[in-house]
Formats: sequence, C-alpha cells, structure tokens
Amino acid sequence: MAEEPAKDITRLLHAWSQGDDGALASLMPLVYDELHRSAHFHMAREAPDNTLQTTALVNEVYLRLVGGQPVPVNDRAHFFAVCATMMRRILIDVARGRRSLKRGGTAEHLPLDDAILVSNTPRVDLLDLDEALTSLAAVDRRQARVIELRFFGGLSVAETAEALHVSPETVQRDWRLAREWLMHELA
Amino acid sequence: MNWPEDFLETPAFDLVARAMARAAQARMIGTMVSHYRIEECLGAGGMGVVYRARDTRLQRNVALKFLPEAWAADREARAAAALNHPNICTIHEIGEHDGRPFIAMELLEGQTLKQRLGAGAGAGALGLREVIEIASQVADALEAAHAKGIIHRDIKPGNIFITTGGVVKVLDFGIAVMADSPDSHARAAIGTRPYMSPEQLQGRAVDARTDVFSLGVVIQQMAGPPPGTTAFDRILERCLANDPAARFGSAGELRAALHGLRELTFVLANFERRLLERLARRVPRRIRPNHFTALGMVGAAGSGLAYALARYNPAWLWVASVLLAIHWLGDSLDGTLARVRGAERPKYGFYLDHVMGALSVVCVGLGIGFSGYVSLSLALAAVAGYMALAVNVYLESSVFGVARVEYGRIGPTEARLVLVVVNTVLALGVRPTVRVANWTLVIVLAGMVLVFVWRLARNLSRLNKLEPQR
Repeated sequence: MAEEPAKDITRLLHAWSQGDDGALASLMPLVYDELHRSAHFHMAREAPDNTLQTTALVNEVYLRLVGGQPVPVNDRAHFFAVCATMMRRILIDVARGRRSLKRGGTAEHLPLDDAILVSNTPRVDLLDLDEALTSLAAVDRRQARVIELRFFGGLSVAETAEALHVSPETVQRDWRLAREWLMHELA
Repeated sequence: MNWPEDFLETPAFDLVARAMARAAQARMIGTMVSHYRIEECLGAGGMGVVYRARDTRLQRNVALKFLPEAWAADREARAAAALNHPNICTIHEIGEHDGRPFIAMELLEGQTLKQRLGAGAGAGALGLREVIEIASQVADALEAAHAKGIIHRDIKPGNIFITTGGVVKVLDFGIAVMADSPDSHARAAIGTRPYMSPEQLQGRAVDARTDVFSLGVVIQQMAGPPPGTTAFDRILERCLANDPAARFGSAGELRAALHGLRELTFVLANFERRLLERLARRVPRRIRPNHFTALGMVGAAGSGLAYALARYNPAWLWVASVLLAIHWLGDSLDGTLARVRGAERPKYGFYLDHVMGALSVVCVGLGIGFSGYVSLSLALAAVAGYMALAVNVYLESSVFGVARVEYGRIGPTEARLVLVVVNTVLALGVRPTVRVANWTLVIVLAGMVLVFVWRLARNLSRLNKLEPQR
C-alpha cells in the first residue's frame, strides 16, 4: 500500500476514464481501505447526524487517495467527477458482495438483505437505486449525473455545479427532479 | 408512499461504511476476546464500540469497549482503572485483542445523560432538583479522581451514565487523552467541542478546573433556560469563567455549592447530615433503607394519634414528641443510609419520599387538629393548604423545572423541632401557648394562601407563554 505512488491515482483514474478496466482493479483496494477506515470510524463513534459532516468525510477520502497532494485546481472538478463515477462502480461491487476485484483475505461479506439500505421506508437498496439511475440516464443524462456526483460521489452542490459546468441553481433543480423521478420509479 | 425527507442525502460511501460497521459488529457476537465471550452489541459511543460480554472466568457479565487502535494504556489510564468510587464506572481490566485495545468494565443498566436529555419531555431540560442531584454525583466522582491526579478531559452527557436506580456513573476516566490524537478521523468527529474549556481548546496545559468547566456546560445544558435562581446562576458563572483562577478551585467546592443549593431549606443541614451519616454507619447491614421509610411512616401516624389522644390527657404530648423524633429518624435516615452504603436507591425512592412526606403531614396535621389545643378548622385548612402547595410544587418541578428550595428556609427538621418545643411547653401546662399556637397557625395559613396565589398566577402566566410554541 505504502509504495503505491500517490500521483498514480490521478493517472489510474485517467486511464480508467479512458476505458482501461484494469485501472479500476488497482484503485479498488485503496478505496476499500478507506471504507474500512470509515467503518471503524462509524463503529467507534455515534453516527454523525449531519450530512455536511459526511460529505466532508468523502472529500477527505479523495484527498487521502492522492496522498495529501494538492489536486491541480483546473483539474479539480474533473478529478472529483471521475472519483464519483469510480465510487459508484466500487460501492455497487461491494453491495453485490463481489470479491473478484478485492484483495484476498480482507474481503468482507456484507449480508445483502439489510446491508446498504438507501431507504428504510420503503425498503430500497443500493442495487435497485443503481438500476433506476441507469434508467434515468436514458431519460435525462444530466439529472442522473447530478445524483451520481452528489450521492455516489458525495460532492456538494457547488462541487457538482463545477464538475458539470452548470449553475448551483440548476444542480438544485436537477437534484429535486431526479429525486422525485427516482422515488416514483422505486416506489 | 412515505419517503423519508433525507432520501439520498447521505452519501453512498457513508451508507456502505455504516453497513460494513454493522456487519463487523454482528460478526463479533459469539466470539471470544481474551476470556470474555461477546454476547451483544450495546452501541457505539464516546471512545468506541461497547459490547455486553460474559466473563467466562468469573462468570459475570461485563461491558467490553474497544478503543481506537492508536490508543495505548498510559500511566493515567492505569491509575484510572484503579479508581474505586460509587460514581465512577469500575474498570475490571485493560487488555488487547488482535492488536486492538479493549477495556472490560462494570456492566451498567440505564441510560447516558445524552440519551436522557434526548428522551426528555419538552425542551429536554431537567428539573433543578434532578440537575443538582446529577451534577453533585459527577462532582463527587471528579473530586475522587482529581485527588489521584486523574483529569477526565472529556466530561459530556455521553460520558455520564444514569443507572436505573438513579446512581450517576462517570464513564471513560483516563482514556480521553485520545481526544488529541493525530488521527484526522477522530479529530473530525469530536462532538465534544462545546464542552471543552478555553485552555483545552487553545491546547494549553489543563488541570482539574478544565473538568469543572465542562461540568458547568453540562449543568447548563441539563437546566435549559436559566431557572432564575440567582444562587444557581452564580454557580454556573463560577464554572464557566474563562479564567481558570475565577472558577471553583476543585470539584469538591462545586459540589459543596450545589449541596448548598439543594439544602437551602435546612438551616441545620450540615449538623444534621453529619449526625445522620454517623448513625447510618452503625446500622446493621440487614436493615435496608426501605425499613427506615416504613419506620418514618409509623412515627408520623403514631404522633398524629398521640396528638389526638392529648385531648384526653396532656401526657400524650410527650409521646407525640418521641414519635416525631422517630418520624424524623426514619424519614431522613433512609436516604442517608443509601448514600453512605453507595447503594442504589429503590427505583421509586424519589416519588415514595414525596408521597410519604405528604402523608406524614396529613397524619400529624389531623392529629394536631383533633388535639383540642388549636382550632380544628384552622388545622384542617393548614393541611389543605399544604397539599395545595405540594401539588403546585410538583407541577412546577415537572413542568417548569423550578425546585421547592425557593419556598423558604424552614425545612421539615426545623418544623419538627418547633413542634417538640410547643409540645413540651403545653405538656408543662403553660396555657398562653395555646393562643400563640393558634395565632401562629393563622399567620402560617395566610402566608400559605398568599404564596399559593402568587405562584399559581406566575405559573399560569408561564403556561400561557409556553402554549404558542407548541
């Protein structure tokens, strides 16, 4: 882990966004370690009750992925956007309980029935949401991207706006509409 | 379809991390950690996850808490483990399992103050009486720890546990040093910032007075909006001063101030407490606090009867005096006994105390009424007035959080002493006392009516102010 050069992350992300799936396999253990850290953190403390705090946490994960090195300012939006897509892929893999991409030994098996519920009432899990989001992308690509960046990527409204080159108001509106659409679809 | 408001508001990364945390917790059940068998996850809080576990060597249930990996038992943690005080959660063992430090400690039943405040009715503020009760017990614990050179550093509602019996236990002594850990996750989530003293926030050296500050913040949070007692506000000021030198010098001083607040009604409080504690230590173990509660009731009923019989023979007044003393002994010694033994008070002790107190007043009051020395109607009116005041006080303490300490400086002990003196004088045949007693009763009654009307009006106006916020 330690010898994994931090600047490689940006390169791997880039390679993956260019279609190199092997790059994702290299990224996975890094994210997985971060998930572990975060899980430990949740075990150790009462769950933070405000979302701002958790959003900051995910951002911190990205910064840790690049080893504390500054993300180039002009690249920041792009970096976060690619991170969000990567997060979606990896988190869905974890939710499926797929071990293929994981390092052996540390593989965790999550009980699928109650794991990773997006909503308790009605019961919706991450996999259903992922499918619904794919359907949404066919209807409105940008709305689906907003959900991906904010929910899977943990980006704030401002960061999402920056990544999509639209105004924060547009992000807010897309977020609201997409949420409505997904609720309807998943109900 | 009933969708939660926060649908999609929590990032997926966090949901997955939480699911992993839950799965990891579930996997722990049934496993052995050292000689402890993990049985149930009690929850996460303070410094780490807490499990209920079975000590397979000593065959008892314990609470097992895992600490962050970076934690290492230092001198202070080991000293804290050796603390033995009824208001400090006992640590049985500090150990390590698979590189993760854990602490095996006394398994407590009840809830943390944080949960208590969260579950509290209305604004979440407690009655002043309960605030004083909890705060004095925490101060007691702090005093004992400070005496051993252990500073808690993380006093907050989540670290204050209230057992089902009402005993307060302070958790996590000696392990809060981690609060300054270099781990950024731990730092990011320190929710205890509002409880930290200025010197702690600035990273300067801390001493016992930092705990006094934190306890002050907790007291303020428990009491809610200032209850308007100047004595109480002064105590808060002396806890929350920015300059440590302006605070109480020790937790013991704070506790003494709190006790002073609790016992404003007792002019003889200090003398009485010392006497009762000395008596309580001599009581054989098989006699329990409840036995004294019963004795107190017998004393009250007996003295009422003796008063009524004094109508036929003044000699009964001596008997009434003796029974009043027994009533005092039973009424006061039950609580002292529980405190001295460090035992938990019976679950309904607090309410029982109030009901018994009211019943005693009715018994003695009726007895006096039928004694023939004072006017029967005056005595009945005084009893009725007392009941009305008591109900009013109960409403105030439950609705407004105002304690009865504001009623005056004459407590039940003083009242009993006055009665004994009057009994003696009457039994010796000093007739003018009858007139004095009657006039005193008239004045007391008038005072009661005035206080009742004044408080009732104030309560009604407060109630009006409360209403629109609902």
